[in-house]
Amino acid sequence: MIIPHPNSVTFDGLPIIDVAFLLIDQHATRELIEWSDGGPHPVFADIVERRTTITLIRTPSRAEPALPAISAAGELTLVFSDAGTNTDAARKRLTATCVVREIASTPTGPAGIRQSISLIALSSDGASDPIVIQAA
Amino acid sequence: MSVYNDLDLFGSGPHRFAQAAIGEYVLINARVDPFQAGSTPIGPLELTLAVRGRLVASTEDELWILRDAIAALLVHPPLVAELKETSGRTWADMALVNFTPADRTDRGRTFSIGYTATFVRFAT
Repeated sequence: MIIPHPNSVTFDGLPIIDVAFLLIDQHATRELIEWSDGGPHPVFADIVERRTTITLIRTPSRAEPALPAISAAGELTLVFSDAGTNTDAARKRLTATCVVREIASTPTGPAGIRQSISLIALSSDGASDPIVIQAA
Repeated sequence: MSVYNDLDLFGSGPHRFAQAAIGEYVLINARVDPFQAGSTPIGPLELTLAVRGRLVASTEDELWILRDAIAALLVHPPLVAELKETSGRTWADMALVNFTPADRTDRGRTFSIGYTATFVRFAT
């Protein structure tokens, strides 16, 4: 999932400004693939452990306020407009309990910087989706 | 379909048959007497088959029903019955002697658990 230009982003109550994109990626961390005695092709596959990561892509334009530290835990809240519209009716709120796993910055030109903040999204019970999206 | 004792125990998921070594059981003499070299043939190895696979269910409770159905056959003295491979080959007089589940139940799209079930044809 890709969310461009969110209206607002906070992490553990701290505003995070200049967010250009939010990316949600799902990774299979343990996959089962099983074969039978019937032939060479797999007959069963399941992803039994997965990891959801959220990456905030920022283009900082001025001196930064404090950013969350690596391993900090908190709730990420993001308000965005669905399907390119900007009406209140189309606004949605994404929330996820996250842990910060990486903050990395890359020069993009003579005066530009692109920063990525990578977070691991946590499920409350291991079964429910760690990402919750509701009408804002 | 594989069958043991006329029951489809393993058909919920993929499984494969493996046969252990056949031939002569050779005893290393030093196991009996540490000062004795050599080895002694003492008789034919018992036929041992292993079924390795994965029980698959749509709920946790259904998975336990599959596990319990196998566990119910682990009795003493062991049940002796015919074991039929998926390919159709049959093995008479096989005793289900143990069922070893994997270290975790996997909960993804399905509820499943890996296992090894061991069958022996006792020599006596």
